[in-house]
Amino acid sequence: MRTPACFEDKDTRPLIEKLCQQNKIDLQLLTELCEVTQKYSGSGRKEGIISDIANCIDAYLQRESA
Amino acid sequence: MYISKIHLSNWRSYADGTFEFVKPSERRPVVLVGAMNGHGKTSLLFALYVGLFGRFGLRHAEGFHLFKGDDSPYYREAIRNFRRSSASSDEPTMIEIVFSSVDQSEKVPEIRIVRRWFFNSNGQPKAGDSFETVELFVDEKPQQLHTGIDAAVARLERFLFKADIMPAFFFDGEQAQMLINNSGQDGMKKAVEVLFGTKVIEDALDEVKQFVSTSHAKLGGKRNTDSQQVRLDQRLKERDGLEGKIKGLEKSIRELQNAREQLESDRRNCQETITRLGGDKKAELVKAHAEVDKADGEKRNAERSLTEATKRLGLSLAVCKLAPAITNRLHAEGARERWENLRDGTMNRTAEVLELAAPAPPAQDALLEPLSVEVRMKVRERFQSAIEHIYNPPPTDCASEYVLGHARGESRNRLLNLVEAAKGQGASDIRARAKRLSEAKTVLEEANWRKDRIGNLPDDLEKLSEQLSELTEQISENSRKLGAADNEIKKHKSELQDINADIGKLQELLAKLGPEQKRIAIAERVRNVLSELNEQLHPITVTRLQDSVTKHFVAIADKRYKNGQIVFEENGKPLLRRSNHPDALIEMMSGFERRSFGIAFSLALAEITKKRIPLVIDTPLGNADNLYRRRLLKSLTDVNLDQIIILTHDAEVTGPLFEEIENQIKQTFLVEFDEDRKESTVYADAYFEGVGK
Repeated sequence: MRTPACFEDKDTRPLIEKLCQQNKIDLQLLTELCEVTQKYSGSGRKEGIISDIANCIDAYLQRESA
Repeated sequence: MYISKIHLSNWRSYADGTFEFVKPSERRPVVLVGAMNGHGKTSLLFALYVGLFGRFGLRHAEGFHLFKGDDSPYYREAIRNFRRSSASSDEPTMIEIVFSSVDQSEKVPEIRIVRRWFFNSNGQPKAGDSFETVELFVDEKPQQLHTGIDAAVARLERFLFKADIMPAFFFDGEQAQMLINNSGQDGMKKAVEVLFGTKVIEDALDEVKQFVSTSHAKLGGKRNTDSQQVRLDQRLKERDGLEGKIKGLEKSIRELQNAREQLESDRRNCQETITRLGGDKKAELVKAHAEVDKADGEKRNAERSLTEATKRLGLSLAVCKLAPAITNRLHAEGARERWENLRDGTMNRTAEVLELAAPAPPAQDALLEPLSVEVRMKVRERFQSAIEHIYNPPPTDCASEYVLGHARGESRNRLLNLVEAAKGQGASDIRARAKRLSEAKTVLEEANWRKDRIGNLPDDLEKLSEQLSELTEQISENSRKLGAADNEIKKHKSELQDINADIGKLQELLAKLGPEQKRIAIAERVRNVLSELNEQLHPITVTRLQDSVTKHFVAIADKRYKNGQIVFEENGKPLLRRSNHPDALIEMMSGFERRSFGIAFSLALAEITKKRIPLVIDTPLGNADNLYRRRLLKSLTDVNLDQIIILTHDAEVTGPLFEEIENQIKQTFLVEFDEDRKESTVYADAYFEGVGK
């Protein structure tokens, strides 16, 4: 799964980083959530997306506590 | 990513043609597919549209732009027309397309899609779902398309790009005009979605919102979880307050206990000293002292009472002194009042009495008849004077005037009674108080006598007794305070117990909710980021796109536009802005400029997206002049893409042009149409005769 282009772009990446910093989350969490969204995008079946989002957030919380 | 294979079966002029593309390199990304007009270039392009996205791709094919995607009969008819007319009825029309990764580290899977259409023996499309089948493989794993063949579209859009922007990557040079139209409001939006992942961000925002909502619902609603937390915070605050109060009270109690210990110690010392000083007489002496104190107090009270009574006696005495005069005066005024009442009563009846005694003429009166009228009137006057004389002078006990005129009748009697009472009251009161004082003095003398009889104890003993009494009072006050503090602590501790129980329950509840709450809090923050990103990315993207399109456009278009700037007006159509020139709408420019813009737009998308989607362009150069062709070809081959497939006819990329890009060409194909067999054949590593190797 590819990261959205705006995450790698020289102009938009600082903006994303700044917003993440302001809202006290890390870029990895945002990237992972976008990947989860991409994974389910266009698919009629959304079972599991809530659990996948929760997993991303749990992983973030673990990173934070570490 | 590059297209590694396109296999066409019974597709227009292709009975069974396969393009096997070798992996391109960074330096050699170009593939030339040469075919004369009518030999199969456009069929190959259409195969990409329809092979990838089926009915959703058809509307991007030239001549089908009005197709909405949900018109099944139209789509079936279109596919029937695309089917090779000489195909055997038992053979389906088939398109197979494979996308592979150039760099394994990209973690891009291999995508293979095989789309087949089935027809009856009469050449008509089969009815219902049996008309079309789709197989989708990701890294050779067949994908389950639970919701039907359209599910393949959604998957492909996830792995490749949205069907809507396909013409930006696979297009006919002649279709550049469509790109211009699409690059307006709607086209821009789609481009932005693809370019910078704003669609993903928008979708992620929706998913995170859904996540927050679902999580709240799981916890009994947002209000519930929030209110539980608020309640817990409140209870914790209350507990802190209570614990503070209890600590304060415990400190006070400790201080009171210390003070009490000190007081009790002082009292013990005092008692011991008293005992030591007073020996066995101590109790009796203390009792005698107490009696003296009591008698002394009573004496002082009696004295004070007598003094106060004496002060009040002034008024009584004054009243007593004036009492006879007041009484006499009141009696005299009473007598006058009675005399006046009698006199006035009599005088009021004078006329009546006169009429009875000496009626005025001409009234008949036998006794007075002999008298003349004049005499009769004089008799009447005399009689009247005689009546009036009865009450003159007034009796000697009458007052000559009313000095106390405000007191009359019953009021005077009450005043007389009060004066009489006042005369005796002062004296009897003083007598009673004097008696009390006398008795108190006697009691005191007796108490002093008893005390003196017990014996004289050291002077300090009295002071010690006073001290003991004070200590006892202080201890009593201390006990009262201790008791109050104890009660308060008990009350607070009871409250604390209740609060702790409540906190326990809330914490237990929130512990269950805790992880979910944390997730919600994080998700809320993510939502903020995504929401702001959604708003802020668009203007940045527009600027980037304008710059990139401008860069490619001025490189391709005529040199007079080299200082121009492509501008995407808000909700408007793209235009070219130059200094000292009016803005020029792209759609109003010449065919070559429109084509230049279309290709520039595609190159810009490809450049900015960095998705490395292969670019497939059908006859990009057309019949343009050599300079234009050179600029365009240079722009196409300079763009950093994994694969650029140029479908070209014999007059396009040949001669010096071919030589200019030869070192960037990875592979060539030649498609030839056999008029006899009515069939196109694909020749790999071949090209137009006399061109290249």
